[in-house]
Amino acid sequence: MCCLKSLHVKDSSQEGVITRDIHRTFPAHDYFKGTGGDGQDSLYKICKAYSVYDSEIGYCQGQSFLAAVLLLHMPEEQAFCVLVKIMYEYGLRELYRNNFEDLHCKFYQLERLLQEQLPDLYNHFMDLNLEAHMYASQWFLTLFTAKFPLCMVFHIIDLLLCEGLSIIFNVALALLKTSKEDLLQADFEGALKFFRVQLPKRYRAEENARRLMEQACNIKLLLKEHCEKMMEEVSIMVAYDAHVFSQIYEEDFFAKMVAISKPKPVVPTKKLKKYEKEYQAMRENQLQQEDPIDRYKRENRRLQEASMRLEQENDDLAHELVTSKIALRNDLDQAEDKADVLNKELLLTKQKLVDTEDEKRRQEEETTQLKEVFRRELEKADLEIKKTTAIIAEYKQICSQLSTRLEKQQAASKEELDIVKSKVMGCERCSEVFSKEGTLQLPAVSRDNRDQDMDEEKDSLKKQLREMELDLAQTKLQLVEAKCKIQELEHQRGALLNEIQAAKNSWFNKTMNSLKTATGTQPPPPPPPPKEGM
Amino acid sequence: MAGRAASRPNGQSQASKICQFKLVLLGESAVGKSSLVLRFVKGQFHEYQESTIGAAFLTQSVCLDDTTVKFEIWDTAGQERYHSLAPMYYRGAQAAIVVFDITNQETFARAKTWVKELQRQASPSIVIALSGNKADLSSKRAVEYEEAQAYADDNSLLFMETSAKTAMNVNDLFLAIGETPAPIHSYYCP
Repeated sequence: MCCLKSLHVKDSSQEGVITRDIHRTFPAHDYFKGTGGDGQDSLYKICKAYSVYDSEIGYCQGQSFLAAVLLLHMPEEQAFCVLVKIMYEYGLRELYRNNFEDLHCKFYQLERLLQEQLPDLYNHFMDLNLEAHMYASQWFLTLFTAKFPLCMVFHIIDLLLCEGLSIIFNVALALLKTSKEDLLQADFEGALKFFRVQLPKRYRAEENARRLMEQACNIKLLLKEHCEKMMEEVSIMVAYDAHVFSQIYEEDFFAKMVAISKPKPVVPTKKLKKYEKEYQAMRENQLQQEDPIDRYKRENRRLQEASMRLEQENDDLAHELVTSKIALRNDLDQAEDKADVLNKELLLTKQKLVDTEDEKRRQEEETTQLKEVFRRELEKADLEIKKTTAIIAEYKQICSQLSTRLEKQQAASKEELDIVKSKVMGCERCSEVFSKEGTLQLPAVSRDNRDQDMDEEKDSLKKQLREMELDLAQTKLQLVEAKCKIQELEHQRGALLNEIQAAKNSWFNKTMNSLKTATGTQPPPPPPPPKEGM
Repeated sequence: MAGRAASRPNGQSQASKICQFKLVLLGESAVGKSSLVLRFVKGQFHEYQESTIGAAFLTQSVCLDDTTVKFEIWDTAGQERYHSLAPMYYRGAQAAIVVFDITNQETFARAKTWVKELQRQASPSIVIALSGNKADLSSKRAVEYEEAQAYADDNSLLFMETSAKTAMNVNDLFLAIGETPAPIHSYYCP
């Protein structure tokens, strides 16, 4: 509510007046001396904040003095709050309203109190045509802060904060009472000069100020009034001391007791109320006598002023409304922009997701295809291996058959050879040719005939042998070739197996990687049900 | 009130007649009303004149030929808010000085509204003087001399540019008001 910081930065139509008044407020006081110093700065803030806070009253000349006095006691934030309290709750702002109607009432009340308390002074003032507004305006409007020495002002403000605005009357009456002798001797001009110059000067002496405050506190208007009232009510003949109290109703009795028991200021509220009523009746009377046209004119003027003020307020509010609307619209626009960007991003991400899934599917297909291919390859290779193994087995069989045959034939030929040898040995002619060891002994020419036969046989045997050897060599060659082929096939098979393995690994990695990247950029792929309108 | 002047004759004057002259100063706040009065009454000037709350009353007597004119001056608060208190002071005044600040156009506009109000509501014979104050600050002038003079002529006002700081035209202005022939003066002379 009382937020000085937010208020003093707002625009005020009264900035000019405030600025002009700031350096004219306590210009001799150290704290408020320097132009642009802390004191003036705080004072400006408070006055301006108040003018914004209370648009009906705004800044009033004189307020700066009160604000300055508060500032000498507390930080600006608190001083502002206290000022607001004094204006609103203590009712100081009422004095400024309705063309100072309430202030005039206060003047009337003061004059009536003066008449009652200091009748000779009242009469003197009447003779001089000296009216309360001529000397007491500052007292009410600045709460004595403008002219009086600060030590006394502080006392007055303390008292005011405790007791309320009506202590102005106590202080005013005390001032008039202590100055009575001087004033009674003064003429119009002298009296006003006394109020302006000597009176404030007198209280520079703290002793005087203290005594004045005591006097102000001892003015017991209420009690006296009640006594008077009771004297009227109760028969004069009755001794009023005891009976008096039974006649007063409880509240008043209590107030009275308090008044008696404590030397504290008794605020003359009852009396003031009575005078206020009188004043109002008087005003009413004046208004009745006044030309109704004038009255209506005045009324009209007042209403116009109020209307203007309200219009201004309305304008301000409208302005505020528009600015806040604009601000909100801007915020909204920004938020919408952001939402657009985010939506775009979302769409992009979705697209990416779809792409990634496509890619995934494609790769899966590829993988199955590859698997299929590899399986077929593998089967083929297996088949090949089987075939090759069969061939190898066959070859081996053949080889073994061949070697058995070879052995058999060797055995047979050996047998035959043995038979032949034995036959040869058996034959005398022949035994000569052949030694037992089988070595051929070069036969004599004599044996040519027989040799002829043997040679033929030998030749045929040799030939047979050579053939068989050739056969063996070929078979051996075939065997070697077959082994080579087997080796080659095995090699091929190994390569194919490797290939399969490699293909398997790379595909797996690739798939894994693609899946990983897909999961890294977006939440785990819940198969996105395509949302409507996105 | 007439009797008071007689009871306190001004010592400096040997004049045979003493006339009272009730004068009121009006104008926007901080144009220099109090400073003009202070200069005229005491011959002083304060750079930071405290703002006037309510109204201040001062007097000064001046010799004019064979007459001592005693100015009874009501110096009023300038802020618009105190406007409604002003009639208490200009009612019955024989003269009014409406002050504006030559460095501030707004104060001139406000002066015009004061003149209008005086013409409508004050005594019909009131002498109105227009003072363009702070003439020492003519480098910051915002209201031209001719403009103010023309306005004064149109409304039959006395017009002078004054400076309470340098005392320029201050006494002249008051004297010119005192010399203005108006039948009402004699009415207030005892």
